[in-house]
Amino acid sequence: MTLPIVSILAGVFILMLVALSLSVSMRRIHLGGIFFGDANDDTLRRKIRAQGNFIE
Amino acid sequence: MNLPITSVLAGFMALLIMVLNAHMSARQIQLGVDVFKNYTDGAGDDILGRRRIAFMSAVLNIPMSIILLGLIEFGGASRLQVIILAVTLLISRVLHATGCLYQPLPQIRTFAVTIQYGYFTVCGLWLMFGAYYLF
Repeated sequence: MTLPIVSILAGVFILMLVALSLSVSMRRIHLGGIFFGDANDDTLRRKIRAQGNFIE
Repeated sequence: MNLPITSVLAGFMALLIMVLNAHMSARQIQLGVDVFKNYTDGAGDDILGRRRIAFMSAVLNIPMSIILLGLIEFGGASRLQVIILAVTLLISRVLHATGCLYQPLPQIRTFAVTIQYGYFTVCGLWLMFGAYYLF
């Protein structure tokens, strides 16, 4: 295996991203299936920004 | 460094992003939308909203997906393993784009996003534990 430290870090980060993304998806489902925008929901907005900032 | 499968996929994904960008830009020009306003909600236009979602999702997810695939290919995974991951990612992104652009119901997009989450999870575990045991 080459680049072991980078690989481990990338693995950790991507699992964190999956957790943040799932959080957004679950909130969308909880609100009744909001697939575009934030439905003016503060919790969803915060989750979107957390995921957006992380992935950016 | 020789990463043939990742390179081919990266090339295809770059073209996909360019096509999605062109779709979005064309609609913005057609509507005369100020791109500095209402950027995330499609400026009240459903078609533009869908095109923006398709483009933004691709731009946000594809780079990290390619990096992960590159690390796995560089790390010595077999060609078949890398091809399976590459095809999975390809299916996910194409389905998501077509679902956003042409499918009013969310099922295709939901399926595509689920595949994307699965891809990320498999790659993450692969890199964490594969790298850990061979460190």
